[in-house]
Amino acid sequence: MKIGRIESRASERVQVLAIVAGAAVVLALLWFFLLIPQNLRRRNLETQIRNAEAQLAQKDYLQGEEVLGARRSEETEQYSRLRDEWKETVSRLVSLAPAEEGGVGGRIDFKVALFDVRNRLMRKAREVGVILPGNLGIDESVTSSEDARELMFRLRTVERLVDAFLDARTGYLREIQPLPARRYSLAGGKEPFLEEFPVRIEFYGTIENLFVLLDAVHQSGRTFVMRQAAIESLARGGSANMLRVTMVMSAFVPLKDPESIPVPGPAPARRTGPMGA
Amino acid sequence: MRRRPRLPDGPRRPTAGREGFGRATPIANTMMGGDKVIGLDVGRAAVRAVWMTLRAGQPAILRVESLALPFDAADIAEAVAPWAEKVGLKSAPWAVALPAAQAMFQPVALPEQDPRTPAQAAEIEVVRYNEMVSDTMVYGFAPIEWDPAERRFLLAMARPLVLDGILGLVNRLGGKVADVIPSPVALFAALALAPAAAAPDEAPVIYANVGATGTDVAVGGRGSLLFARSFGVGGRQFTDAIARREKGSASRAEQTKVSRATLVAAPADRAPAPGGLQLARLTAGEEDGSGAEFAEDLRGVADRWVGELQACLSIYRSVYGAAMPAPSRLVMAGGGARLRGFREHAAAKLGMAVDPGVTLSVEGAGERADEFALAAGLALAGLGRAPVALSVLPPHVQDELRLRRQKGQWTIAAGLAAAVLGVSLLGGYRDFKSKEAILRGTNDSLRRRQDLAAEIERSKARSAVLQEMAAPLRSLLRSSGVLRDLILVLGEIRNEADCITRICDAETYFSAGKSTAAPAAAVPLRVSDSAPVAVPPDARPFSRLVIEGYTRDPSFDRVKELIRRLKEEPYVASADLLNDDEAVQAAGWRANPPPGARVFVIDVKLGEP
Repeated sequence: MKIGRIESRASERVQVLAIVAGAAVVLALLWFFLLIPQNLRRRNLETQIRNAEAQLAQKDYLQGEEVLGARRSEETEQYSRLRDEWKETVSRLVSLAPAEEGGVGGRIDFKVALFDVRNRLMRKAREVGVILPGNLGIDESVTSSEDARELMFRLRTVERLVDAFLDARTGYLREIQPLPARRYSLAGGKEPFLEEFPVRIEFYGTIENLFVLLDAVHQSGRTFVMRQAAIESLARGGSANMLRVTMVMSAFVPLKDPESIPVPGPAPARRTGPMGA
Repeated sequence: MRRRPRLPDGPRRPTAGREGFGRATPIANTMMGGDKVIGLDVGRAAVRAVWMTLRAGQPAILRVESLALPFDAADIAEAVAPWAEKVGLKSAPWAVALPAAQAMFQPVALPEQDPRTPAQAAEIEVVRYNEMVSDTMVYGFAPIEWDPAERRFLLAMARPLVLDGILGLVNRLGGKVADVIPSPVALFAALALAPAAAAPDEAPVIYANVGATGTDVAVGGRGSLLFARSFGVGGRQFTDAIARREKGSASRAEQTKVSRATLVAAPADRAPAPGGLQLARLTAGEEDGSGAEFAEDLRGVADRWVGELQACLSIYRSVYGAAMPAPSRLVMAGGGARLRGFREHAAAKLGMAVDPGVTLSVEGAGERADEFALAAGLALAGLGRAPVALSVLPPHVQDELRLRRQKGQWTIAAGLAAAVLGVSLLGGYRDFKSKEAILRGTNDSLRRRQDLAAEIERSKARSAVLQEMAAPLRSLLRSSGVLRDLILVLGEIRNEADCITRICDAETYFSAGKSTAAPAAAVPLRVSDSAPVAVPPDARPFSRLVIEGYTRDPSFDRVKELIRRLKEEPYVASADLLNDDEAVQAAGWRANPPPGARVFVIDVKLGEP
């Protein structure tokens, strides 16, 4: 007879081994599932901290939160100040409102407006005794390459300038020529933020007429910027004080509000880490 | 004469085991690691159990129990199991006996020059024996320290099959084995240390345990077991003799043997005892001659018993020769030894004193007869208090017991290790958590600072955009009034003799001057396309003006005064006569001055408005 009982008790050896192995497995599991992830999280955090510190140090931002907060306030105030200045400048310089003057309408609107403006200015010219070119320098025909909006702005620019001219009661406006628009965009940017509508005029008048005209085109809401000027005395040609003045005057239309222009900000800080971080 | 020897309480004897003369640790005491052992003597007629423990380092019998087996019991385990449950036999590990009839004992003497250790010699002897029997014997040995000058040991061997049977019985009964001890070793352990049965220093003593079917014989002295043997004459032969006389059953004969049978003849037939022999006092039955009708038959069996014992002694003498003195007396124990007149008869036949066995003192239960001697010897051996420690526990069981003994230590060690590691893990975890909290705080602060930095960068970028956008507007606005202011200045300082004939921006002036066409038609158009352009670095309409005129003052003092006056204007960076080479370029559209007058051309460079 085999000593089955004793043999079965050999399982106690297995039990001991099982206990030891089980304890080792439990410890290994704890190590694997508790400490290693913890250690990984710590390392990830350290890596994130190192990267963040390097990023901040690179641009001299590795300072206390209070200092950075103060710097942010300064920059915000600076931005607010610049924005106010921008608004003031725009309000002084811009004589054409985009929505009112050229924001709507098609070719038909342009032609109707051209007709109205011509009639009104000719009537006003007759009233003040000033001679104007018959078509105000603007052709009625609209080609396929022309933009109704731009034509409308040209018309409004001419209208305001001629209005100013008539208000100055200058004797003879020999020529009016709207020139192609010019757009301003930020360096590297594609979207223009300002549009310039230059008009070349040539007229004859006295120095007083010139001063009145220059004063007229510097009034708020009718501001024109003198792009080019050639003032020639005609003293030996007849009238002692007569001048021939050729100027390029420009009106401006803002296209963009600074707030709407996307700012190329810094690369977003990395906020995500590997799993378990 | 009954003596009351105390249980052996001598010094703890070393065990030999298989390691040597030993100084190995007793198996039971170490294997089980407990403080209580049950010596279990499983015989053919009865099962006896002795609960033993150590009190202040001394063995003490807590309890004894016995079970008389049916005369014809075929399955001992089946017969014993209910009793074992009843008496709570599983409460402690068991030290069980290997019957001497199923063991082989061989005294071995090592020559003085023999370099082998006793363990090596024992192993060689066993290997030699294994070759003879074609089996692998389980063995143990114990040193014989009768004469310190000699190197002897007693080798005990048993077949694995026999041990499997013993251990199988233990397992079937649900017990835990503490040790397996050859019965003569246990007998010697129980009797040799009892003062009444101890051997004198000059001669060994024969210890005989008369069992039901045989007798175990141990010869020893001075704490060493010298010789062990068994023979097949025991109490059952006396029973059979009575049964034959009664012509009755064996069980009835057993009752007769126990109750009244005696080897002493009726008083009329009684012969005088040999002189010098120490006879035990006759019992009441012996006095009145009751049971004497069996004396003749019983004496015949007793003579056979004595003859077997003498044969054993003959072997003993052949083994030791003159090296060992002849035994001086006999100690008889066991159930069979209780037969009336048996000891006296043996004493007469052997010509030596015969002492009864020991009586056992049981705590709280008085004295018990020496039929428990073998069980007590097993318990002593199990506790490691036997004078001779000789175990035949199979190695794999020893390993198992050792493991069982060490299990607690392993468990404690594993628990401690787990606790240490657990504490380390917990500490590490908490440390990690603490560091993580600090790192998270730092990280959060850095993120807030990154947010602040991003906001600052965005504000800077927006400011830069605004500045870039505002710069041309500001420049245009400020410079648009320059020409008017300049004309006003010229009007202030003009006189009748001199004349300003042309005021023109430089670009227009020089462009027109290259052409021969009329001046009015020559004013060029700088802004010539409608494509978006980047803001130029200097968006001013013009930065240079040319003033052309003539003077009748040959000294040009008035022209100089004009230049000086222009220089005073804040928007004028410089004013001077135009270079002659540049003046020549624009000569084409210059008007002719009146006679006597001299043309001058002033170059005015504008500063930042």
